[in-house]
Amino acid sequence: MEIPVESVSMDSGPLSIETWESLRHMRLLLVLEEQYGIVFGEDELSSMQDLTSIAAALRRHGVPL
Amino acid sequence: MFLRAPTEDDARGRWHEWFSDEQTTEWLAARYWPNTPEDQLEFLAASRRSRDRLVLSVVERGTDRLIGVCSLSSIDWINRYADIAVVIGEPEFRRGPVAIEIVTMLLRIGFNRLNLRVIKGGYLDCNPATRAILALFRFEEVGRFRDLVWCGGRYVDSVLVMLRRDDWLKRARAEGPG
Repeated sequence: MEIPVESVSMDSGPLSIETWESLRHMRLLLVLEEQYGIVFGEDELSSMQDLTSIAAALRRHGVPL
Repeated sequence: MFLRAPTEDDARGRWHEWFSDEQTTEWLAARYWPNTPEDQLEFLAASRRSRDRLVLSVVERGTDRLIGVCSLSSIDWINRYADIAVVIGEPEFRRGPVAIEIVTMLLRIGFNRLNLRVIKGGYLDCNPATRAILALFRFEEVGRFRDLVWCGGRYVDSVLVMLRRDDWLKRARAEGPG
């Protein structure tokens, strides 16, 4: 997202970070699936709207955070 | 978001304006000609008569605001395939997961309601957002027309992709272990 780590919180998402546009959001989800060898469900993809919901989805797939 | 049948008010309103907007049509094949309310109404009437095209308006839940359109077209009912297209007309909705939500709904309609086997599509290789969302939904690249279209100061490939129902089901049925 090209922003300092200090400015990121668990509430951060597309609405709060200007550079979190659609392309970066989709690339983030693709990278997470590839990195952890998981497949998000369709409903999960639509529900991941901030770091909190992304972290919750990763935990559901057994990713330790 | 939800999808519904388009209306004449949709066609006369923002819908026709989107297809005359340089940014919205940047990566569309039919981007060179201006669009008019009359053209859009004619398209709507033709879509309603069509037996091989399903056009749906994308509407924001709560406000009922029209924000885009999507379609399954060139539907082959015998061999059960169709072409997918999504246009988000309102720029503020081109962020985050909105496109994902629309594609999810449209694929469900195609595979579950229309009983399609394959949904196919294409994009210009200068369009990273469409490439990313098609990759996210496991569309497979099946071919390219090399250097076909002028885009961003160079000729770029037109990329052809397809998604089989079985591959779609892998994501549609994917869930966390609980």
